[in-house]
Amino acid sequence: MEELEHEYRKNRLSVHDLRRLREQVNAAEDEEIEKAMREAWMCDEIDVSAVDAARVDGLKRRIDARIAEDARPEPALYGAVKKALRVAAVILLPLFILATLYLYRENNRMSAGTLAVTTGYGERASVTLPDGTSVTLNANSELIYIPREYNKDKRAVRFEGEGYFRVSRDQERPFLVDAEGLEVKVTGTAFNLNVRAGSETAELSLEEGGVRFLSTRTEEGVWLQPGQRAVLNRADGTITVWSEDYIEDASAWKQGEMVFRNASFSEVIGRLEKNYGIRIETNYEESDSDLFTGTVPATDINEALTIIGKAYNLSPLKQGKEVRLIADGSPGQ
Amino acid sequence: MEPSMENRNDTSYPNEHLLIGALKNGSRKAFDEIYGMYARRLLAYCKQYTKSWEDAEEIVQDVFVRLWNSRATIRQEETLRSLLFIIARHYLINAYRAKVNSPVYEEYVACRAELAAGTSPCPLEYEDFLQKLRIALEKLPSTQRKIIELSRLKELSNKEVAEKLALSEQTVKNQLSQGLKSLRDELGKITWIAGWLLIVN
Repeated sequence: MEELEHEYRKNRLSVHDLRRLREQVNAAEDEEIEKAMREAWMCDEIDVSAVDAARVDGLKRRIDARIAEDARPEPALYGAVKKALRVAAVILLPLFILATLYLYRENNRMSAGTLAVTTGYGERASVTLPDGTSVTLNANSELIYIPREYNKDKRAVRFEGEGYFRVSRDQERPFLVDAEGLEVKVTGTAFNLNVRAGSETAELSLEEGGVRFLSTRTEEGVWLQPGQRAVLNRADGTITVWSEDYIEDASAWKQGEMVFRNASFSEVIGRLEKNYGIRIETNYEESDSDLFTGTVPATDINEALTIIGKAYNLSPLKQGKEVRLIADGSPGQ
Repeated sequence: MEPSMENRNDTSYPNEHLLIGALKNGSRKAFDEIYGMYARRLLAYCKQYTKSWEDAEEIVQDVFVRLWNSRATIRQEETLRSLLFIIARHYLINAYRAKVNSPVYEEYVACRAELAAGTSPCPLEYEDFLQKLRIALEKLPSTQRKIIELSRLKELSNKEVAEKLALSEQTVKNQLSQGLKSLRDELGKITWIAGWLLIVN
């Protein structure tokens, strides 16, 4: 078996040999297989030339992100609970004390056992579905599914807003996200989906695995690779696919962060407004060369404004949901 | 980090003992260093079994996350190389068993052997093959695609496929043969030997 296995690893098998190897592997116990594997791992010269730095670095970032996620004390809602319990997901924010949510809708419970998880402004929630898939919802988002039907021949959910999906691998039962204007189909993967009502675009950033992104309007579908971001134009239903070096930026909100890379001032202001639900007025004169790269908290508005203020020499004045950014040295300060 | 260091035949580095000790104590820096020392080797090694980078990356990710999560209980007597194998082994064995039994992988092997025999200088990567296959499948009318998936990927008999899709067995046979022909045309230069594309029972 060692020889066949060696040929297998080197991709030099013929179909005939593969079938022989299959027979042997199926008949062998794990211990036997482990022995040969261990030998190869410990002692062989392994050709690492095909492993490029980008892959290694990207993977490390994902590992760090996952470790940070695991360490987070966010409680999860287990979707398999069918009793009439009130469950509160607790999200801790630096400025707000505690935000508690109702995660069951009484009327939905009556109709065909639909379960809805909803978040409001400044809130996040974590849901674990019956198959182990985890969905982290950003603010103003909603996830809906039917527990009784969920793990039958497919795993279907309805979604609006922004969420980070870690889908359990199951080739037999595709995971389907139904959202406005689009459909996402996956077998096992991790991606960030941003599909907010009233937004001109919807975006999916794929970190791992494979995803099929379909525009329901044009029936156009694309298969994405990790590192790619699909953007749906809501106006005409067309899809554009981008390759991103830093695909994990899209889900930085999970760590309570907003990441900017070479962002224009308008983009910075736009994202702050959307994230915090504020209106920003400013007398700053934008120039093309003034690009901002940095990380800003997504859950601490004062800190965020301070950082942006420092970057652009602006002083923030906040009054409820209205913010004015005034250039230093100008009248009105 | 010199590439040559990745392939030393001695199975441990001189400062490993200290590194493991630091990791046990919760040093993130030690963890990062261990990653730097072994990630490439582990990735390349896993790929030999999983054939796709995606699956290899997932295993390596799981291994390092587990390494960090269980850092307090690591046995200091082990070498890093051995430690990583202990964590990785079950993921690897499962991936290996799955791949060796996968009908799609068998097609890939057939395809690759055929290409190797010809004058094509570029070996076909498993992921490229999967992607081409997916794209070609997408282009088929949905019934044909479903029939091919059920018949070849799920290995159902024509009768079972007919039942599942509420079609007659003859329709299934016809659609299957038509679909496979279209697939073959779609895949263009890649010719297939004995595999599913030629045999319609």
